[in-house]
Amino acid sequence: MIPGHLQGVTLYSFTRLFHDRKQTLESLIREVAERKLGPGLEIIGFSSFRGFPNLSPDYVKEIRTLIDQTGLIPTSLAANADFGIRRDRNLTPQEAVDYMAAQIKAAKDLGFPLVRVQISLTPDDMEALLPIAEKLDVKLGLEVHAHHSPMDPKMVAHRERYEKLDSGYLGFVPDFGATTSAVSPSLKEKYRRLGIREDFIELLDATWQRHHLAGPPMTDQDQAARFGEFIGLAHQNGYPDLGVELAVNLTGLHGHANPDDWASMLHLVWHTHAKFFGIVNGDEPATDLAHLMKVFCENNYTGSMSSEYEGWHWNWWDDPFEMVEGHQAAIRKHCADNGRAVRTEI
Amino acid sequence: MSSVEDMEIQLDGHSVEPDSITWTVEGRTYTRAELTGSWQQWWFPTDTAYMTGDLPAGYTPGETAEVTIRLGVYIPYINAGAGILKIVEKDSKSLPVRSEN
Repeated sequence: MIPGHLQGVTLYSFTRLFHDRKQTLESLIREVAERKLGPGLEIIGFSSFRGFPNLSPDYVKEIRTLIDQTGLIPTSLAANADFGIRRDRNLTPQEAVDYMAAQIKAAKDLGFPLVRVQISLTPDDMEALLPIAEKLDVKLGLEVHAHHSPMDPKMVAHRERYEKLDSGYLGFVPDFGATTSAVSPSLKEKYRRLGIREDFIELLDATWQRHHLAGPPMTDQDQAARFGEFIGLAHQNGYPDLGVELAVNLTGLHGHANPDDWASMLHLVWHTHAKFFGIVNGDEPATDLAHLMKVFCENNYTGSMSSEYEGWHWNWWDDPFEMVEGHQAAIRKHCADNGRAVRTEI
Repeated sequence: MSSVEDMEIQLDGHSVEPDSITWTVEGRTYTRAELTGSWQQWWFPTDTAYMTGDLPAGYTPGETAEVTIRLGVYIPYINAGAGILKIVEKDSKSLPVRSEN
């Protein structure tokens, strides 16, 4: 078989364990290695490294030594583009560039070859960051995350700019949450366990299906309307406290694009978020892995791919390590069906 | 820290005076107004944050109260279509009343 992408995981998958203080950054890195969920390792900067992005040389050395000991390969440092961090105004373009530059420098120091950035950055911001990326030899991947899609006008504008610059340093990080095929069964299970009425759960599912038929929202106004629709449904059905949560889960995590759309940008992709919400009978019911792997294999994708378990938000009953193991096994199978052997060793 | 706002504390449904509420992380205490401007200070996710406020009238140490806290938390990198996304976190626990003074 032809060598395929590099298997890996993001520690974000284990956030529930980290927040519950059942695991530390160090213990998570070691357990990922012991369970062979790598070799690719992705870490979120702000929420994983105390003091990020201003890290002492001693702390950087400690982290690099730890990763080296495990044999894991740093693939992506997830940065935040917090344009709305001030309450009085948004960051100016120069402030946003400075905010990102510090994180890119930290990623370089920690040994990561790529930084995941977010859509709050404009094509001009990305072009302004290019000299920093080139100087540090760190690629930047703009995450394509629901509610956005590969064909969203904002993403198309980024793609056209990256193609024009042809730098080899500006690209995308596809997130499979942008191309879901159903509402995750584990999310509906959570609401059942909380005692939410079945007719309301069915109404939510039907609303999501109606949005799915219409396709991804193409403007902020479209997205705001869908977000508001779920909040309205929560209020009308006696669950006002659930409104924003439902809107976030059903518009911000379960996106409506077609997996075929990834083909338009895979020439600018070096790292991917294989977002998923749960494994049932050996496969992922909300992200169509057979379809997704077909697209990635047919386009000869050989970059890294992090299994990103996001079901932790609502699933308190399953083991996230077992979820990731199941997800990676399913991906290896679907890639093998396309004649590709996922790389699990260096 | 500037992403935290709308701090509310209730005891058995009685609101704690909003202006008396403070927020303490890593040994530093913030008023509500101070949190708003503290966009270069960070709350590391595994650090405990302590909220304090004046006890509503009628409670004495030793009693048990149903304590509800509510926090509005901005997600500063997400434009929800109509502005920065803000989620509301809420939790309740039965806790003993005790005096700090």
